[in-house]
Amino acid sequence: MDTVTKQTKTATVESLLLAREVEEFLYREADTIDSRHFEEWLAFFTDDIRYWVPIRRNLTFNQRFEDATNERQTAWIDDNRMTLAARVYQVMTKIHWAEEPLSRVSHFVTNILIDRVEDNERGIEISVRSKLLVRRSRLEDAGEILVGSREDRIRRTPEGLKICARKILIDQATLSAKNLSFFL
Amino acid sequence: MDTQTPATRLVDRNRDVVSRRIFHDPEIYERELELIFRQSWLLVGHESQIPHVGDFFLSRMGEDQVILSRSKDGRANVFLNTCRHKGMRICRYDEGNTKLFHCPYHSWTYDLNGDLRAVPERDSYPESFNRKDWGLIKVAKVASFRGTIWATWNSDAPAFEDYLGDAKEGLWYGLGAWDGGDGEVEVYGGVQKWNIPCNWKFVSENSGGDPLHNISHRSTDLSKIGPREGVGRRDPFGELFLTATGNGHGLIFERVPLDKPREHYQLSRITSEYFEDCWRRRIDRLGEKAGSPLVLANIFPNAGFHTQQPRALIMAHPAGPRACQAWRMFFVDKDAPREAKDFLRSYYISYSGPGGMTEQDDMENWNYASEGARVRGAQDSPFSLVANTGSYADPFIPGKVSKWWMTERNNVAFYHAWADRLGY
Repeated sequence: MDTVTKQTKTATVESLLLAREVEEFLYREADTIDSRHFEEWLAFFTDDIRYWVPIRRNLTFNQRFEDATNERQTAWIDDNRMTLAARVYQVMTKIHWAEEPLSRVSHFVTNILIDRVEDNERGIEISVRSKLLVRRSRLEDAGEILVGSREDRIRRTPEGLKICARKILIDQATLSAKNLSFFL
Repeated sequence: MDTQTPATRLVDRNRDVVSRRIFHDPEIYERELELIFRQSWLLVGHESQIPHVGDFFLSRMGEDQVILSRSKDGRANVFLNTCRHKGMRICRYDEGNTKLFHCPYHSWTYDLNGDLRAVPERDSYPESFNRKDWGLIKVAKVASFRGTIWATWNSDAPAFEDYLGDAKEGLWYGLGAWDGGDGEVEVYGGVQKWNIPCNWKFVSENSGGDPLHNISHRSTDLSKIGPREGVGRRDPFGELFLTATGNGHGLIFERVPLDKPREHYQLSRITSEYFEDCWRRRIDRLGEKAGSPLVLANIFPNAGFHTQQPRALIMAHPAGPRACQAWRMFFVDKDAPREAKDFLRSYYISYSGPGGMTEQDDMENWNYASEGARVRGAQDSPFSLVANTGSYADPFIPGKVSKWWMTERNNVAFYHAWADRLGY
C-alpha cells in the first residue's frame, strides 16, 4: 500500500473522496443542463463567476501555449453572473428563436484532473481540468459536436461546491457551429 | 435585353421584390464571385491589426485567402495566399510577424511585398526565369480609410473614397474616436470566425438596411443585457433614419437631443464618464451634426459596421451559395481608460457573434431564410422589399432619407446595385 501511495503520491482516502465529490458535482452540473433545468443550473455558480470561452488561433509552435486569446482580447463568451443569468432568462422567454424549440444537448465530461487545492481568502478552491464533448441536435437535421477542455475553479461554500471560474477552450479556430446559444 | 418574365425576374424594380433564386442558385453565385467580389472594394482588415513592419494578418476576399502585410516602406500589402509554384498555402498562421514568407512545399520565398526573393537551387533554373514574374498575386489597389484597410482586384475601380460617395462622412465618424476628433480606434486582439449556413446577402441586408427585424430580438431586450440597469440590449437610442447613398451602400443613423447627457454605460462609472466627456467634446467640435451619428452600415457588397453599441467590423465572406464564413472584430477608442476597454469588450461579446445574445437569433433567421429560399414550390414567389415610408432631404444625413424602422429602401438599393453589377 505504501508503495502505491508513493507512486501516485495523491492516493489518499481524502484525495479519492475529493475526486469522487468533484466528479459527481460536474456530472450533476452537466445533467442539469442536459435535462433543461436552466434556472437550477445557475445555482452551480458563485456570484463572482467568470464564465469565459476564449478563441483559439492558428499560431506558430513557439506560441503553442498561448494560442487562446487573453483576457484583454476578444472571446466567444465572457460572462459574469449577470450575463450568465441573462442567458438563462433569455431561454425562458420562449421567444429566443435560436433555442425555441429547444435544442437537444448532451454533455460528456471526462478526464477529470484535480490539479490543486488552495485555501485563500475566499475559502477552499479546487482547480479542476476536464475534457468536454457536447452534442447539439436541433429541429430536423441541424446540430454539431464540439470538443474542448474546461478549466474550472470550484469553491467550497456553505451551500456546497460552486464554480467560481470556468474557462472553456473549444478545439476549433473557426467555429463550426452557427451559434453558441446552448450552454457549454 | 430583359428576357425574364415577372415571375422569374431576379430583381423586379417595379414591384420591389427579389427572386428566391438569388439566394441559392450556383450559377448566380459564381457570377457574384466574378462580377461583384472580383470587382468591388472589399474590407480586409484594420491598421491596428498590423501596426509594425513585418506584421501580417490572414484575411479573405470572397472565397480566397489573402495575406495582409506591413512592408518595410510602411505600406499595407494584400496578396493571395497561394504559392506561384504549385499553389501551396504560403502562410499558415492567422497573424504574426515575419521578414519572409517561406512556402513549406518547395521553399519558394517571398518578402512582405509579396515579391519572390529566392528559390532553392537557383542554378537549375533557366536564364529566362525572372523572379519579378513570379511574385505572389497582388490586388490591384489597396486603400486605407479611417483605420480600415480595403482592397480590390479591379484596376479600374474608382478611388476608394469615391466608391464610398455620400457614405464617407458618416463612416469616417463611425470608425473614429467617440469624441468625433482625429483620435484613433483599435481592434481588440482575436477575431471571431464561424460558419453560418446562410447566403451572404442576408448578412449584408442585416447590416445596411433591416431595422424591421428588431422585433426578432425581443427576447434579448427582455433579458436586459444593455450597459445600464433596466435597459434592453442597448442604452436608449434616438430615432433611426435610413439612407442609401449610392453604389449599394446602406446606412442607418440615429438622432439624439444635444441638450442633455446620454447617460450611457452606467454599469461602469469609468466608461460612463469617459463617454459623456467624449460626447461633450463631440458637440463642441461638430455642433448640430453631433446629434446624428451613424449606427449601422453595409458598404457594398459585404462590409458591415456596427458603430455605436456594439462597435464591430462585420464580414460575411461567401463560402458557397448556401454558406458564409462570418467574422467579427470589435473596436474601441485607443485612448479609452483600461477599465472602459474591458467593460466594452465584455458587453460587445455578450451582444455580438455566435455567443452574442442578440446575434444568435439573427443566425437562426438567416439560416432558415436561406433554406426557405430553396423551397421548390415557392420559386415563383419572390421575397418582399416593399415597405416604404417615403423619403425627404435631411440637413445632417446624406441622400434620400427615410425615417424610423419600417422601410426597406436601403435593401432595395442594395439589390439594384447587385443587379446592375451582374447585368440583370
